[in-house]
Amino acid sequence: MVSHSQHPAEIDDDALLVLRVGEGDVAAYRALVERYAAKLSRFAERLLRDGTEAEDVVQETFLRLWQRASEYQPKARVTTWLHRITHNLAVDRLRARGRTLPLPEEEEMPVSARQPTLLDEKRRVVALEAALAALPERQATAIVLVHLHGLTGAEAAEVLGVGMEAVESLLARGRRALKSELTGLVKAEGGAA
Amino acid sequence: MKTPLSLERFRALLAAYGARPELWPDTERAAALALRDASVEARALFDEEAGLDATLGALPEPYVSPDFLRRLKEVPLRAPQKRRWFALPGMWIPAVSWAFAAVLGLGLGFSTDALDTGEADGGSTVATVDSAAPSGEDAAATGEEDFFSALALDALDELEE
Repeated sequence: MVSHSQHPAEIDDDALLVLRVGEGDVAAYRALVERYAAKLSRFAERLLRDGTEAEDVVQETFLRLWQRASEYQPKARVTTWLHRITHNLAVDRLRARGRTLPLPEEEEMPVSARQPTLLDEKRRVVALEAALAALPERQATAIVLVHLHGLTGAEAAEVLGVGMEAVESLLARGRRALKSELTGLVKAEGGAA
Repeated sequence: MKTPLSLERFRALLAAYGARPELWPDTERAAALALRDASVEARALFDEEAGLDATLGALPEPYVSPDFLRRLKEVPLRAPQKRRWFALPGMWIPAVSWAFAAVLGLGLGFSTDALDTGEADGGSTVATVDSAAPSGEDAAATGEEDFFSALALDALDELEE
């Protein structure tokens, strides 16, 4: 299951771990790998849509954590700092590929056109994952940051390099598209019954 | 006293952050919760959003292969840390030691100079220690006695005797 929010104690613990990494503490570094590898992998894969490149980006993120932990400023939460590094590295890769991040205004493809009708709750979750993958990149990124990784709106805005209003707009449009997809499934289930 | 929240803004909060008050901005959370508890319409909107949040919460954690996790953990074995020289804790110890030694050396140097000066100048320096001290060789001798007395060396002399 996804852990939705970070406890203040956990936040402090993260910052302490980074400070210890800055002093060369390998155990602290490995604790942060355990804590963030999965989240950052999902985030990178969402941005790049390529598992191998996502792994490269996550590895580079942790390399930077190891090499530059002494530069960490506790002004930002560790999770925001790591997500921002991952985001910047992924965007660099997209640029190198000659692609840019799709704009928020990108036309949304109807997920139902690509997904078969799904009937049970487990498949509903699978459908939601598919719907999330089909969202325009920045909407999906905002949803992942806030709803799956527990960042605040302000932190997601910092990672994406936009203002609060823009983030709320991305979140709202993303959620609306997901809800629409799930509502469609419920209707389809009703029709099938 | 908290500022009341409009239903329109409440709707916008739900649209962006869902029915999860912990995600709502800190500055608006209390007012939004008050509105939810006071308004039937707000409560209905809240409940309507909760379905999507439940499904989002049921998404599994992404899979990370053990091999990839191992490679991540081995990063410190392959890459040296880039650290600012002044951030290195080990750098401070010799620096502070040298500084302490330098200060001590200067201090002792000045003390010895003071004795030498006292001998040469006829006790002007020593006079500050003991204004009744005579000038000349006696003064220098008295000054030396005071200096070694301060170092408790005379106590050692007594022990030797």
